[in-house]
Amino acid sequence: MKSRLASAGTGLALLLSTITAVAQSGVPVQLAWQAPANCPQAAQVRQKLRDLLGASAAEVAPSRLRAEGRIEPVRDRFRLTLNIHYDLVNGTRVVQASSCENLGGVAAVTLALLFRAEHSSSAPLTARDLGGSSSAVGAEDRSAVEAVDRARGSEDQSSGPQDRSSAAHAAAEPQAFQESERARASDPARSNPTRWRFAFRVPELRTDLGVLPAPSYGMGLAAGLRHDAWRLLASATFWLGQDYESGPFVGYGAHFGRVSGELSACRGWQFSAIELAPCLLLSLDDVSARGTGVGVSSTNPRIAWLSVGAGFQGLWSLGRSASLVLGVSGRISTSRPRFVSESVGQVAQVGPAAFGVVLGCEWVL
Amino acid sequence: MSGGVVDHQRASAIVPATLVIAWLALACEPTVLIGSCAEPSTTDAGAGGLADDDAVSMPWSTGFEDGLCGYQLAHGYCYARHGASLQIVQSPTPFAGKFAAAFTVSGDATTENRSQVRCVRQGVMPTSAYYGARYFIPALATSDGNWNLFHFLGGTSEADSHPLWDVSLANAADGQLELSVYNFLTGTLPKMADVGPIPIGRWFQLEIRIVRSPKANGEVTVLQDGAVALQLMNLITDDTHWGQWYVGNYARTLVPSLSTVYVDDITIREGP
Repeated sequence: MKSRLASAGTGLALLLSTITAVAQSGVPVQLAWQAPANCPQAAQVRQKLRDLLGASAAEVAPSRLRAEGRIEPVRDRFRLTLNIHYDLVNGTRVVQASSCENLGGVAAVTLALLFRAEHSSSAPLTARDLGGSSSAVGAEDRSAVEAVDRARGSEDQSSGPQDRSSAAHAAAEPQAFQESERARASDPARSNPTRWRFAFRVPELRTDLGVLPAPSYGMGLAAGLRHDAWRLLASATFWLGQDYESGPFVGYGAHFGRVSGELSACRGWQFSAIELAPCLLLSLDDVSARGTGVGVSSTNPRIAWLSVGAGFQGLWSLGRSASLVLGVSGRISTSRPRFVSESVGQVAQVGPAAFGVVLGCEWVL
Repeated sequence: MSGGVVDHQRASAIVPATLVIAWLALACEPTVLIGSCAEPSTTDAGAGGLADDDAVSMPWSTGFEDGLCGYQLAHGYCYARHGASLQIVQSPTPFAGKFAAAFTVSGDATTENRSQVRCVRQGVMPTSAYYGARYFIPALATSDGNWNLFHFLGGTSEADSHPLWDVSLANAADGQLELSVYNFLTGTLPKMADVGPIPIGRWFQLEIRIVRSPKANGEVTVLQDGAVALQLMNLITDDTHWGQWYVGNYARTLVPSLSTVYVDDITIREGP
């Protein structure tokens, strides 16, 4: 009866002290926070996060992270439930401690670490990053709390040897983080962190239809930059040569050679391990053609033209720095060259539109 | 300005931009000349027609040694329609040189349009000339009577023209092939002399001499391997100024339907 009254009283205190944070000044991660009155409040957690990241972090590096934290009493302990969101990717961390005092710090450290992970690579965060491995993270975070408890002189008799080992590691984590931040601050090149990352794709396998008379197959590479969810890439593709016979004149036709370049700008949205990205495309095709057939001579002339289009890419994250890319695209040609051989007339003409598929690996540095 | 309005304006701008690009694409169709004809070989005097763009000069010949360029350089052309095809071949052994042309048609009666593949010389035809070619018929076939080898038409242009003369293959009573001539100006099939059947599996020469006349003083002579198969005197042979001469393969109904004839040594000359 006494414990029920205590729980009810604590719940009431939790209800009364519920604060939904709206103002996020100076904190790069949006945080909503609920906690009993005797626990750290939103302002303290944000301040801790600000301390960990540095005051200017929000100005130079906005985050796509959002979180809702809630501390609630569970019997004689306290439980922190931290729901973390990164675009449409979600994760939840649950940490229990004998005292709620340090759970605010745990939340701040967790978010600070995720913030750093978000900006240490242009590869998007995954659900695993947000929630961690369910069993390990639970133990680790619990150990973190316990370690903080110990640092503050509190006793937790339930900790075993393994917990203590983990606790030492976890306790060092915030300290290591702060040291890392100090080192970062002392490095002028990194104190103003840029969010541009170098990205390249190799190999890229491509096929398209609509440029040459028959489907084309090519291989190439791409290089460019990623900035947050944006990706700007320039690619070059070398296409297999193509022999084509023009209809009824057997033996008459052309041999086509082709190289192409493409500029693409894509904006990605993360769905778990998959990123979907619509793109705008500007491509340049350079085609050489040599007329073939008895009596035909050719200087193998070249012609180039621009196409504009749009595409859609799916990226399957294979880790923090590698993704498998599958994309489809459609383009409209700004010119439709006609390839003509004197003795048989028109051999081929570039189509008004082309459709392509690309498969490749993207690497982010 | 709200984001919705901006988005709407952007979306509105995309549509005309796409239309402009599509219009540009349709409007911009540069021609890239990927193959041209070299100077005529010594075997093919294909440049004979170059002296005058309008007049078909003599002598002229092509044996397809430079492919279809013999026609191209003489301002002629070749075409294939309705399932027909043209191929420069080395087999069967050409009558002369290294190449001959294979004209293949699909004489399928169910096809509405007649399968045809031919090469054309055009212009102001000579007043009097022999038009000849070597043909190789590899196998017998049964036709409905309109298996055409030579065709003459006249007018002011191809679009404004009418047929004049046909030289075709027809089946005799015994199934053998023989020549058949049709006079479009009178709508008659003159009786042919017996010069024997068209040889199968070997080259033979087909020639027609036309003395053009819009009055009743023209002449038409058809020769098969030099033997006169038809001679018509004192008749209207050509009531036009400009004309075309078609050589190749043209058929409506053939059994078997797929028919290839080989052609070599096409000539226009003044006399024997």
